[in-house]
Amino acid sequence: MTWLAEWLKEIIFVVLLAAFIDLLLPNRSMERYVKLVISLLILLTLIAPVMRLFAPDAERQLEMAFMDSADSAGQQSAGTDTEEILRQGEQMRMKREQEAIQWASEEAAKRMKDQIERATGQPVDRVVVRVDAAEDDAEPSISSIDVYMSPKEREQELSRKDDQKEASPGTSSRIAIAPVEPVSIEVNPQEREAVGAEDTAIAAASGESSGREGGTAGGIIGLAPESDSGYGHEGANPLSRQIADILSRGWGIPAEVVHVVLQEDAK
Amino acid sequence: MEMIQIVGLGLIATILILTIKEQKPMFAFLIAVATGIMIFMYLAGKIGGIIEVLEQLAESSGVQMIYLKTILKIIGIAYIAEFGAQIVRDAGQESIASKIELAGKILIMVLAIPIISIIIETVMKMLPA
Repeated sequence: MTWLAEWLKEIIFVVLLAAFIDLLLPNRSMERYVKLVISLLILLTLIAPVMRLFAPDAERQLEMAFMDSADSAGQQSAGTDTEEILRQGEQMRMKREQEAIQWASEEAAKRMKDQIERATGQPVDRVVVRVDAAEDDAEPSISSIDVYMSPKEREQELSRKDDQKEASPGTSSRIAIAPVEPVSIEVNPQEREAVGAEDTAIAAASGESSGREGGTAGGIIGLAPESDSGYGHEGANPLSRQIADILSRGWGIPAEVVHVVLQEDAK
Repeated sequence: MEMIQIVGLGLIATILILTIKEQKPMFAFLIAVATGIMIFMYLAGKIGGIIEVLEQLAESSGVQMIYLKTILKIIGIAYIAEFGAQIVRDAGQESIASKIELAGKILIMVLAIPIISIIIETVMKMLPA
């Protein structure tokens, strides 16, 4: 029943408006023309329900047509045009900035890779640098660095450490992590990064011994408990810490944002 | 009070024009134009108030704004065409005045075209092909 009320309201309003306009008209010479248009509007209102049935997009069409006629008259469209141009300019600026940031991060990643390889002698698979564009025109800053070490020699170590772990169970933390094992390897980088960051924070806060710390860090980063135990013993942590050290000294960034990921090949 | 002001302005302008008309008909015309514009501008604010109320009514009753916009455009065209035509007529150019009125009429008709086309389209859809 609401549509009936709406419809009646519309009709009443338009008819009232028409009477009002009739009074407002300046002289009789325009009268016939104005009356034609107003009667058409009233007719449109009267057949609105039928129109909705037969031509559901008629209202939109009407609006478009009116917009077109207003544009062709073309007076008040100047302001919107300026706004449009300004908006486009802003968009282009953002795009350019983003491109620049992307280029910069790629370049930085390349340099970092070289640097790490030279300093540690370990092959680096790739370095991913995330640069955040800061708001209000401040300098963009590096928000995180992921260093992915190449899997090569890790594999043998991995298997070796597996055996070792079978023989002698590790610390309680390792045991706690163990059931998660099947998840490993195919996790997407975001998750990995998030977990890694959390872990680093925890480790730093509790100030544990370096060996233990390495164990946890390695485990989370590698995302496979076996490798975690392995690196914990063998000292993958010194490596990642060394890398973090190099990067933070060479690039002036806090060591917390550096995540070292020790990759394994899928078995 | 406002009415008195407007009538006073009109009377003063009329007297000025009557006195000056013999010597300088050009200035008489300019005074007439200026007075007309002044009164028109003065009324523009009042018309703005009326339009605001109408818009509020339309919004609260849920009528499509496009109807109101169309009608307001019609009034605007009618008033401006009328104003211009009368000034020109005062200056004695009857033919130009009628051309201005013609332009006003045609522009009003242009506003009707989308409405007509939509109605005809709907009717054509309703009829069996």
